Amino acid sequence: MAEPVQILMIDDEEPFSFFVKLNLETDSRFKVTTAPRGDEGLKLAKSIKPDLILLDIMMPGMFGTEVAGKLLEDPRTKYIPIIFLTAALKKEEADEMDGRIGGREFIAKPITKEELISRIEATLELKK
Amino acid sequence: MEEPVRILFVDDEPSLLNIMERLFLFEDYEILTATSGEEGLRKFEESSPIHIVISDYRMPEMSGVEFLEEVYKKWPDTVRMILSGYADLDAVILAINRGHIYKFISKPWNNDEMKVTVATALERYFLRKRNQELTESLLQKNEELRQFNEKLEQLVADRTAELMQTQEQLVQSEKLAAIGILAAGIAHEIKNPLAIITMGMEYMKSVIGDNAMLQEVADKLKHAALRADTIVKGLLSYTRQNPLTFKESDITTLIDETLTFTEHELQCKNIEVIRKYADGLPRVQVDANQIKQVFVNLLVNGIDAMPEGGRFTIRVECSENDTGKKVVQVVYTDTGHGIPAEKIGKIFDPFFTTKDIGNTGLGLSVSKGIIDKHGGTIQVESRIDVGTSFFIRLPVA
Ligand SMILES: Nc1ncnc2c1ncn2[C@@H]1O[C@H](COP(=O)(O)OP(=O)(O)O)[C@@H](O)[C@H]1O
Repeated sequence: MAEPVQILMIDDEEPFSFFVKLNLETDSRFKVTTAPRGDEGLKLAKSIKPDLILLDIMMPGMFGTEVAGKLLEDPRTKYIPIIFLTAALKKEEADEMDGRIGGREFIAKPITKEELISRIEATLELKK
Repeated sequence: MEEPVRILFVDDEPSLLNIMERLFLFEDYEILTATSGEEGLRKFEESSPIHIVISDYRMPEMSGVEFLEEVYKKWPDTVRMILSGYADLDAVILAINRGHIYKFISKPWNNDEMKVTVATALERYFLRKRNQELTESLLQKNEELRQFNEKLEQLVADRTAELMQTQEQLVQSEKLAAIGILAAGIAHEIKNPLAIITMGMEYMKSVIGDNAMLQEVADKLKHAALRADTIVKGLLSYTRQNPLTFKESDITTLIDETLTFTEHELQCKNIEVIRKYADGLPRVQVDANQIKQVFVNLLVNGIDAMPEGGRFTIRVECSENDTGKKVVQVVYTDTGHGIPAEKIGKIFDPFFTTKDIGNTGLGLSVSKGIIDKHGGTIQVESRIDVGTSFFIRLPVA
């Protein structure tokens, strides 16, 4: 059996991360690590080198977009695909992402498990 | 010309009448005399107005009180006085109390007193007359005032109604704006807990297994959360801050879709739709839902402008914009009432509307916002009672 896909989820809404983890891990293809803050997430990204990062945009301390910028600067994390998560899709946010990050995959909260999995699959297949 | 002052004396004794006549010989009065009540009434008929009447009480046919009663009925303005000896005082006082006789003069009388009495009575006559005139003019003024008041009240009512309508429109607009601001502000706060609930429900569903009842409960809870999300999204659309999701689309398909769901209304309103789509149109990058919202707004406005029915022409063609770039041009032309020159500059302003309450005046401003975000332009041309055309140009990628 293949190694499960490593997913790092960075989101300050801990119950949400927790449920996403529970949901994704009912599928043996996925293994999820969660981080409630941007700086912690960055560290984990470097240590576990996930296959995919789910990154919330609106977080206290460090914004998701800032986290993404830092990930791009580091050769160790540069190629990890990111899916942004946001509860309030705003034009400014979208524009900002457009300017600073190349790909702009994002998911609007709330999302169903089915959608989430299909988005993850699509993104990972794109990478292949 | 002043009317002469007339005084009538009634007494069955002609000698007394003579005395009276002499008494007032040098005054500027016209003295009339009668020897009975009946004759007295005849004098009244002949030479009205008579200002003062002085009648003896005791007369053979008609008593002085009876005579003066008659006078009172027909000529109420005349000042009525009675001459009487003390023997008849009771009857006379009764008459005075009934208000039909102004004054009682006792017999025999003192000449000087008689002159003063007559002069006083005359004064009274003219005072009353003047009073009456004043009262009448007062009444008239009063009536005028009342009518004016009525008019004023109507005016105030009209203005109030107008103000209330404007006020209501303002409240409507402000409500919408407030909803928008609120929605944008709280969307994030609401969506996060909704996301948690949805995800939690999903997990529960996956571990409940075959318990149909619990599955149903979980499903219902999940749908409730998603429904709340739909509401938040609906509110957010007021703020126009929903990001666009561009997709390559065939613009005429989008137009046809909006026509399908306004078809019924168009038919009811007797509006004919003519489509003139050019061949080989390039596809455009658009957010289909938002562009459709623009087309629906234009359709609704056109329908509103053609209450008696009419014709909608929708042209789609390939064209160039001012800078020579290739665009797809969509033109909606109606045969409605048109837009007056002084208003046409305002129609894209938020909250500008000429319609009843219930219309937000946001349609065109939202539409313009959407077209702007597509890098396109929207323009209008209108002629009163001929119709209006909206031109939308969308860049071809
Ligand atoms: N096709 C049209 N014909 C005549 N007047 C129009 C037309 N379209 C728009 N208008 C005018 O522009 C105003 C603003 O339109 P809009 O922004 O859609 O708001 P609303 O429809 O709520 O009034 C309308 O109230 C109307 O006076």
